[in-house]
Amino acid sequence: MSDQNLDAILEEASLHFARGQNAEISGEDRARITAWRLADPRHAVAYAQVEHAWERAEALRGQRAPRGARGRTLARRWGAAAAVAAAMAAGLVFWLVPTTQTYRTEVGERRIVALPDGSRADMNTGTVLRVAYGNVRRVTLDRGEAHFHVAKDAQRPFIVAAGDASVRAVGTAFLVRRDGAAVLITVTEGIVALAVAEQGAKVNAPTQMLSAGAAAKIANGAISRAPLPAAALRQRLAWRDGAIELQGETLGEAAGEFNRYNERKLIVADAKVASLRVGGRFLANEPDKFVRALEAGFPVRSAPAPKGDIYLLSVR
Amino acid sequence: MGDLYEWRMTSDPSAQTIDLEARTAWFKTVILTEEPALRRRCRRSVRNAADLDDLVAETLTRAFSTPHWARIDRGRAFLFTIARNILIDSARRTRVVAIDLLANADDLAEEDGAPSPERIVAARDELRRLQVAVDSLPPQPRTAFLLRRVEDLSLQEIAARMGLSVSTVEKHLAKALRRLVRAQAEHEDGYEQS
Repeated sequence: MSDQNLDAILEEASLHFARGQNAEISGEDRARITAWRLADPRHAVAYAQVEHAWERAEALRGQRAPRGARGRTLARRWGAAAAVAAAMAAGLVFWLVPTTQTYRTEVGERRIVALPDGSRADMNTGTVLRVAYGNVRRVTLDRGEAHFHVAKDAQRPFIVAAGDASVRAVGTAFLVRRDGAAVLITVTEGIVALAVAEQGAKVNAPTQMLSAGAAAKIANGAISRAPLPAAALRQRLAWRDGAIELQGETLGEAAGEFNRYNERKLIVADAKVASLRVGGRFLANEPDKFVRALEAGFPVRSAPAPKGDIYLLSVR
Repeated sequence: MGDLYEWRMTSDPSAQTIDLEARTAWFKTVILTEEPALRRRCRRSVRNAADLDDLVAETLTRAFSTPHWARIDRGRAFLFTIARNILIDSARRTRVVAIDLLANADDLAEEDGAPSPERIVAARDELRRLQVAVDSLPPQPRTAFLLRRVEDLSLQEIAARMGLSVSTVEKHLAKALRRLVRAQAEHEDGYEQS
């Protein structure tokens, strides 16, 4: 296990990574970097260490001073050499603050957003997304649910922040849903890294890997995970076809699901009805059809409620 | 080490690249975050600095090469087990079986790898350490690094600003990175003791 080449390998890995930072190199040059990493696991490890150091240093960006004070603060922090650099960069303030774009869907609306890097966000009902691309592709899910199809870019991780959850992907697809204080993550392709983002501790927070077909829930600062059977996965993605799929949920849960998509709410007015279990696939924006199906198959009747809402009651 | 190369399981180049990227993403989040803990633990059994570096490197290489990577999410326990096996193999080969070495090797496998509260606290010190490491870089690598990493300038812009060629900027950037990787590996002392 003795090897005097470790330093040489690290040096080469650093050079390859630095070359990869040059946006103007050719596809062949990039292929050479990949080939070098593939040639020997020690190369791959060294390259990963460099990439890891690079990503951790992202935290330095959070230390940026407000625009007016930045020259001064940087000078104090980094000394004279960097002060010169900062002064030179002063004309480029627009570079420093990535522009943030906000996307919204109303209740009942669905929207597919093409992101600048070729990634795609499929937004479900009542959702607010903020997209800020810099060295990291950062997306914040303020509300609602979205399925992300991430374009591959090893140099720029794709990170979705939702409440206290942080989901990081390279090239993969996954679903993030905010449900009250909890956040549900479902991976449909590839693998993602999950972390609980704690205030002030975003560097190196403990992470868990989640691969395709698995799901996790982050609540109260803790991650709990569960494998997801194919049927459950299909259920979670049904909204992308505008559908709600019920697989034996209680009527109370089913009504909650319909209410996410509609301004006309279903109000389950008695406990006996609420605990009935229902199944089937319904259009999310047609609660009336769901109610009619219920009335036909279950001891349930409906009655009009204020503001166009619908009461669900048991048949006496 | 030839038997460790099984991670290149497919000859399809695009599948290889996908595996490489996914594996690297896993490696960075599950394994490299535990590298300081691994180094600290190995130091109990290996005193010589060069041997320690070799043991850590070999452990990381085997970890990277595992075919079952996607199922491993507790990096610390995984690394400790690998390191222990390497130590035992090496003791067998050299036939110089130091009793305390094996005892320590057993010790290695015990920790269950659960993230400790100290780790979360340690994350807060990360930024400070990182700043110290960047501060101690030589001036030109530091400037190149900050302009790229913090100010987000392209290498061409950095070259123009520093009055250097792009390839020289690449070399400065590489030097900065190399030193940051080493600094990261070496600061395990006090990682959980502080």
